[in-house]
Amino acid sequence: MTEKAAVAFENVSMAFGRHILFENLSLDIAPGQVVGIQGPSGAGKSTLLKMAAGLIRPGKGRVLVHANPLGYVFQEPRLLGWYTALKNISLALEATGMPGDIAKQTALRFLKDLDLAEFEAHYPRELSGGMNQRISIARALSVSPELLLLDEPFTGLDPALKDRVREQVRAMVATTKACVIHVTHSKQELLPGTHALFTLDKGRLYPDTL
Amino acid sequence: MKWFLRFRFRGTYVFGGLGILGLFLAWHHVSCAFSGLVVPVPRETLAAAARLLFDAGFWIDHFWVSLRRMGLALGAGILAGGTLGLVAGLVPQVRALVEPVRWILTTVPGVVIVIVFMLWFGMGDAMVISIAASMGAPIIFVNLADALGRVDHHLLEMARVYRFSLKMRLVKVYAMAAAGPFFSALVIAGGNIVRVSVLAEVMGADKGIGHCMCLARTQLDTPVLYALALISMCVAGAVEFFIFRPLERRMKGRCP
Repeated sequence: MTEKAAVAFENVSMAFGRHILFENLSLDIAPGQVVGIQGPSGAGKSTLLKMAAGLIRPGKGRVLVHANPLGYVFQEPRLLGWYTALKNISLALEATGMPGDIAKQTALRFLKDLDLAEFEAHYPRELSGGMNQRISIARALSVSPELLLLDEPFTGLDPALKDRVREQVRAMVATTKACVIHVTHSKQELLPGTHALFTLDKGRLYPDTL
Repeated sequence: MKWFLRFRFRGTYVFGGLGILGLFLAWHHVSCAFSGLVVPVPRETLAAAARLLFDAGFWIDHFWVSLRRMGLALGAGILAGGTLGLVAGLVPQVRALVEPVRWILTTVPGVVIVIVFMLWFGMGDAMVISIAASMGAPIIFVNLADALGRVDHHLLEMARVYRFSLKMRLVKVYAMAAAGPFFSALVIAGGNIVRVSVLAEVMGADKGIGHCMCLARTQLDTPVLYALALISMCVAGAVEFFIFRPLERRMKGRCP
């Protein structure tokens, strides 16, 4: 791991049965760097993010993360259905130790940033899939993450909204100077200002052109 | 859409009322066909129930005693079944450990348990409460353990990513996800506890609704016997419809 790296994958290997997912995969990502990872379906892109989040351990090698807190936009919103949009975000903030009233104010600010302020009291089941995904994005950004993991975060958003949300995320990332790993199946969906792009294929990462 | 939902909601009460009316009509017809010693007419039964309910001695010596026993049994059942269900839902090894006891309590006929507990605890409060609690606890245990075991692992991953504390995970994720099934279990356990409490009182208590039933049976006072059954049903119904169901609806309304 280089001294500056916020996240380092060191000779990571992993297999599910006979299927080799990663083979001696190494990657250093510096703080503030925005990295895109693309690849075919089933290549292991999401697994890579889960390893960075500490949800999965590699079979061999190690993943070192020197960034805290963590923001993670999953492929699906993963909101608590029994809490409102506001509460879903404020809970993530309260988990960082932020007092409840400040957490609510902060959560509301992020909902406003993503044009969802009027839906603060709505439950996830009352909102569309795209709105829920934006709440998930707001939650990830609200914790001021040093490491932001984006797993195809714009799936389910209509094209016009997709561009707007991408720009909003980029602006927020630029403000927080977070290190970003953005997994996508389409180069067009990468965040503006992405520093590097890799293609994950057959267990290896290949540098790609932006 | 709203008027339709309102109609549907109110409609359930109307049809529920019609169902009760239908039962009374059927009861009336059956009572006409049989001797009053076998099936008393509803009017006589209601009059007997009214007499019992206006009798202060019945309230103090029997009704209140049964209610207290049922309440304590429900509390003990929730405490035992809830605690074990909570731990078993989170730790599969504990579930495997407790499962044989659960299996015994749910498969052995209630009357066997009543007899065994009579031998262990003697007659009265301890016997009735322990029997009823041991009939209710497994229902709460199984439902709670299952509900906790089925909590969406995606949500648990999210909770890990955002560093939810153990308390937050238990209260904000597990408890909320399990609340709906828990209250459903409570409805079933509550009904069971009322039934088993009365059965235990019939067999081995000198106070309570069940004891009154035992006396009424001995004296062949069928209207009083039916009236006591009606009062027991009303107790179970009141607890279900005015406490458990509203709680269940409230929790399910918040859960997906």
